[in-house]
Amino acid sequence: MSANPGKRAVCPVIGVGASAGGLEAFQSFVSGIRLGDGICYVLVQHLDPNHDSMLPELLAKHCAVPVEPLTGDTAVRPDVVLVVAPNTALRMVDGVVQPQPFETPRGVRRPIDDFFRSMGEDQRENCGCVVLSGTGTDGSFGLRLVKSSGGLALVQSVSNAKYSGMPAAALETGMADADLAASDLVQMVRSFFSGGEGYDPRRGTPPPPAFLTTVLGHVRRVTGHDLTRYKTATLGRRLLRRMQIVDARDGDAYLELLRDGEKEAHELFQDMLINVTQFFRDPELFDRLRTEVIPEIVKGKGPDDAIRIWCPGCSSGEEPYSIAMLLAEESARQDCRAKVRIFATDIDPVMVARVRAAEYPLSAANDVPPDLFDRYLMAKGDRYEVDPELRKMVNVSLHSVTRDPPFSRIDLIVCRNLLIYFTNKLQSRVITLFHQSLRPDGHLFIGPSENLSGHEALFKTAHSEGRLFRRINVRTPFITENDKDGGVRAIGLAAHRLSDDDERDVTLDEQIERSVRERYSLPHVVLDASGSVEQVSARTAPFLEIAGKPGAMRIGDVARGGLVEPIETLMAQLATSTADRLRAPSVAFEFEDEPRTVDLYLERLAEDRMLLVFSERITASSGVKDILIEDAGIVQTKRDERLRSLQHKLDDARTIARSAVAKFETSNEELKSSNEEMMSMNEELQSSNEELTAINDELQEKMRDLSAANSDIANFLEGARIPMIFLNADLTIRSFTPEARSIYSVDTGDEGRALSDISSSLDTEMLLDAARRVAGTLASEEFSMESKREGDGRSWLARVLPYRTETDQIRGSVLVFTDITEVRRVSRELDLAQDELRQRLEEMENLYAAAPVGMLVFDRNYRYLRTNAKLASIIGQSQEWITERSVAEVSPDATDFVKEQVDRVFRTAEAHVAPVIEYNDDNMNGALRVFQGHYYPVMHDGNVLEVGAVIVDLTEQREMQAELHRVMMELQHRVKNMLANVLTLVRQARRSPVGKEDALEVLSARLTSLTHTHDALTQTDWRSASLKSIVKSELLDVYGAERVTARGPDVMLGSRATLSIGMALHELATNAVKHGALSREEGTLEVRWSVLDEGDGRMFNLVWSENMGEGGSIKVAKDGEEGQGFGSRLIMTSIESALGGTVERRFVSSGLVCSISAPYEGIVAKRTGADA
Amino acid sequence: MKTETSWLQTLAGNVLYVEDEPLIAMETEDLLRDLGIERLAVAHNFARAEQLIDSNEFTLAIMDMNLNGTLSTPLVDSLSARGVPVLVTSGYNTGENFAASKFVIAVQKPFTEAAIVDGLERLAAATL
Repeated sequence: MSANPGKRAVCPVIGVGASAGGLEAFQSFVSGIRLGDGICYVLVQHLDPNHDSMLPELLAKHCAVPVEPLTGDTAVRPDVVLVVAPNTALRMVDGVVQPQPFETPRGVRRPIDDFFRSMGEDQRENCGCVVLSGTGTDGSFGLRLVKSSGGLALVQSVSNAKYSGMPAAALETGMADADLAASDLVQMVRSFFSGGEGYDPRRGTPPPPAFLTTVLGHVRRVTGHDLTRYKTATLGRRLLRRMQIVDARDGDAYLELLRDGEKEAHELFQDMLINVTQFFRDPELFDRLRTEVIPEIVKGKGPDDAIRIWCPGCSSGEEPYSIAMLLAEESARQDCRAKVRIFATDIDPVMVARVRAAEYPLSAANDVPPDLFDRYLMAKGDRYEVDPELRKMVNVSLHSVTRDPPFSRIDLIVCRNLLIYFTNKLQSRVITLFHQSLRPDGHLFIGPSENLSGHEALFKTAHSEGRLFRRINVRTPFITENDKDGGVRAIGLAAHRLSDDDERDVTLDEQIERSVRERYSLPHVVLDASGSVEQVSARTAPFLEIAGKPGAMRIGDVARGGLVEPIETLMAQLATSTADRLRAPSVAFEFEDEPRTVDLYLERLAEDRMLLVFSERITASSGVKDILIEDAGIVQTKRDERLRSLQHKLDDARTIARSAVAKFETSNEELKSSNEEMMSMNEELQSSNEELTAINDELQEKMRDLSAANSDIANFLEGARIPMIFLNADLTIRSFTPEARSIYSVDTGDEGRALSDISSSLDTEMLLDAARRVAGTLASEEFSMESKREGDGRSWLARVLPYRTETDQIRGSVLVFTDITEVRRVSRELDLAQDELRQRLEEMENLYAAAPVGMLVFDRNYRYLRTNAKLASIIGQSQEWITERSVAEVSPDATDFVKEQVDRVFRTAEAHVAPVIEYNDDNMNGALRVFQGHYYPVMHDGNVLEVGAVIVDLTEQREMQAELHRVMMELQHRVKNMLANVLTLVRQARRSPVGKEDALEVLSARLTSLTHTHDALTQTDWRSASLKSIVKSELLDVYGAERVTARGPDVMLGSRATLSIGMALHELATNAVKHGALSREEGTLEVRWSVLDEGDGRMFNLVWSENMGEGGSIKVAKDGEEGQGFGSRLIMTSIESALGGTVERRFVSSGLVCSISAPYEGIVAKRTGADA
Repeated sequence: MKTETSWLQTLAGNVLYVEDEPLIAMETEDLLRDLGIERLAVAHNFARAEQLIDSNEFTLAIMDMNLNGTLSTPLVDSLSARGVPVLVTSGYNTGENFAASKFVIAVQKPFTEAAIVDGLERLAAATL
């Protein structure tokens, strides 16, 4: 309590201790931690020093803040969980957690206590501790210290803990602020440190004195205890702590809670009186002990005497040792050799253990007067150990003041702050008990808030201020065993046990029975087989010398003189007798100097018990006395004999007893030492056990993880439906998945068989070879295999992998099979489809390249995605230039039109033929160009992705149409003209004056000639005809080359000239046949023509010369003869009108000479142009 | 043949006949003279016809549509514009090649005498 606290850590720190079952508890505990709580947790666990701890990893999964192992000095910081590392102890200095090697041997370590103590001393109100699952008691002592420093003390509830030893021990201290399930503890921590209005324990603000007084007033009113004598600072600190626990906002809120019911006052009272003792607490009182009481006790004590001191409720033992120091000092001063025995007792085994250990924190140095300190406390590490000589003086034992028999012949009882836990009745009983225990004039030393009011008859004040009393030497009042109201009010757990016994209801039957037994029955005792007194009835005082409770008393020791022998005789007889009941009549004895007679009955009871009944005879008549007097001599003699025999027996017994005592003392020492050994072994075992439990927990957790992983794998293998076979290094089967049966005829139980023994659809040797290679190279292999089984047709991809263990050792191999039958089929189909696609693509490319029409594809932005050469030529740009450009760029004038077409396709998703567009191409000297576009959607997934177009160049077609139209017109014209000509000839024939026959013949000849000329023209597309061919068909073919001579250059006549000249030649020949040279066999005809230029342009001249031959003369046509007139007129019209030429007819001796002349340009076929 | 003279009186003051086909020209010239036309100028080609039109005032023109490959449309248009009635003889089915005018009437080749007379009568009626 008085150690100087260390530098305050930046945030509250909570020590959490657990042992067996700790993993689970830790997990639950840390799961409640939230980021931002601002609290640092330090987890302490009993760990196997030789075993790596997985604790941080296992906890991290459950924790919202980082979990770190404590591998070095670590300053406390908010929002972190620090976990102790194996084989280290922890201490805290100035808010820094320091791992250190253990100083104590394995087995007696208490790492949780050690850390809690260190933390409590360092951080005071800024810390807290939590005791979780574990066996043993580690943590309880630390928890007391933490709480007494003003820190928070929490315990996992016993029902929630896997191992309840540690939590139960911690709860037994009565100091835990709460016991909750592990998962709820953090919430408590959080609310404790969240701070209260006005009174922040972390700032250490004391409550106003007036407020404290008011609170203490409440406590006194409710509990009857006046705490005002306690140190205000301590009370204030504990009050604040209490307020935080009940979450009182401020002073008023807390007062309200106090007024609300008695419960809070009791709890506050309990909290305020936490029994942490210290050396020489209340120094001035100890001073009085030292100067007045102790010297008196020591004084006059010889070496054979014993000084006996009793410290009930000694807690951690500072008081007994303080007393021991004073006694040792005083004994030395008075040179007293009396043996000092200080009985230090407590109901808390933890406390008993601490007292035995006799080690105290450094803070103790401040409490012990320096001279005593130097003499009796020895530094041991960071603690002080009490001098062994002093320790020998102190006998420590587990003992309850209220239940166990008291110690006797005590010189001084030091019982401080124990009575306050008891109710008045229980207090009264205990005070009476103390009175009984004390020697005459013995002293009683009680706490500052305790008093002995109501017992002035038993004790008198030796020093009122010091609560020091002296026994008044009166007879101790009878202490009733079953005092109905003697229970204690339940304060703390220790007291609780008492109340169970004492507050038991007593039924009417029991009351009657007890009343009869105590008041109206014969006095009796119940003995066990060895003669020890077990039960004593009322009114046995005349027969027995028993005070208080029975127990460990032999009847032979307590029976009054005269009764011992008869009783022992009876017992001996009963032991050998078959009878159940024996009687020893009229046994004489003395009580209070009066002779008495009693009949003794000894009766066998169940369970080897015996009932001894005293039936006293009332010796009222003097007659009896007389008889006794008469027999006095005999009686005297008998008495002497008996006395002698008894004397012998006594001597023998003494001898035996002496040697027995010596033996017992020896064996007692042995037993003691072996007990010590056993205890230390036991602790060691317990500690190992905890370590084992901790390891077991971790292993179990690991096992759970493993089994989860295993089941993951099992599920994976089951679900993956993949044939897999695991091979051992010797190529035997290790395991396989069910799907492996589709390849290997394996079955459960085949594990361990050689794979080569199993029939398979695949080439096992190939697989085994691969497995051998893989074992050597460690590189996995992969190859495809075909099923050997007929009709199977499946293909497999076999993968052979090395089987690696976690440690990377090779333990065989794994065969994994993938059915690739379908994959292969699909792959083949894919290849085909790709080929076809490629072909299609090529076809399309070719189509694009070869198409005589422009082809293109537009995207939504009217850009040319694809074009062909023809389109490029239409546009007049290169394909490369056009592609990726937009129509606005490529054909600015047509942009709107094209966009409209493209939009329409995108909108309707239907193909359409756009209107014909015509324009004058500036690039082609303004030539008219005509185009028509066919627009169609390029669909993808039902949407128009792009728009394709086929642009057809209609320019030539248009020209052709025009030409065709023209030719049609011309043909029409010619045909009509021809018909008109024929009609004219027919009319001429009809009007002809010659005979009908002749006229028809002439007509026929004229039509034939016309036909020839047309033939010639038709051969040259009606453009021209060779003059030679006309001459040939009109003359040479008709009259023969021997008669007709034709000379001249071949002139290609125009169509008009062909017809005119043809007609002229025909008419001339017709006349010649009728009248001229051709009418005679010897007659000949010469036709010559030439083209001459005599300055007036080229002229065409043709001369027709007839030679009548020998004796021939020209027949002159008769007047009116048709031939003359029409024929001549026809020639004239043809040549003169149509050709602009001249015709001259002369008759010479040989016959007719006709000269035809016409401008050459008018008759010749034009080289170019549509017509001639 | 000469029973109908109404068109003659109206039109046959000074007549131009243009035809490039010799046989048809001969035949038609005879026909026209037989119908009673006395002042008749005949041209066998476009140039000659143009020359005659420029130097004479005709009261009627009978003109072939196609003069050795040259359309006579300009001549027809020029005459009709001056109010000279023109009877166009044509092998073509339609007469759309010249401007629509009440002074122009077409007769299909080959034509009969009746067709020529009918055409002339209609021209005369249209001109009145």
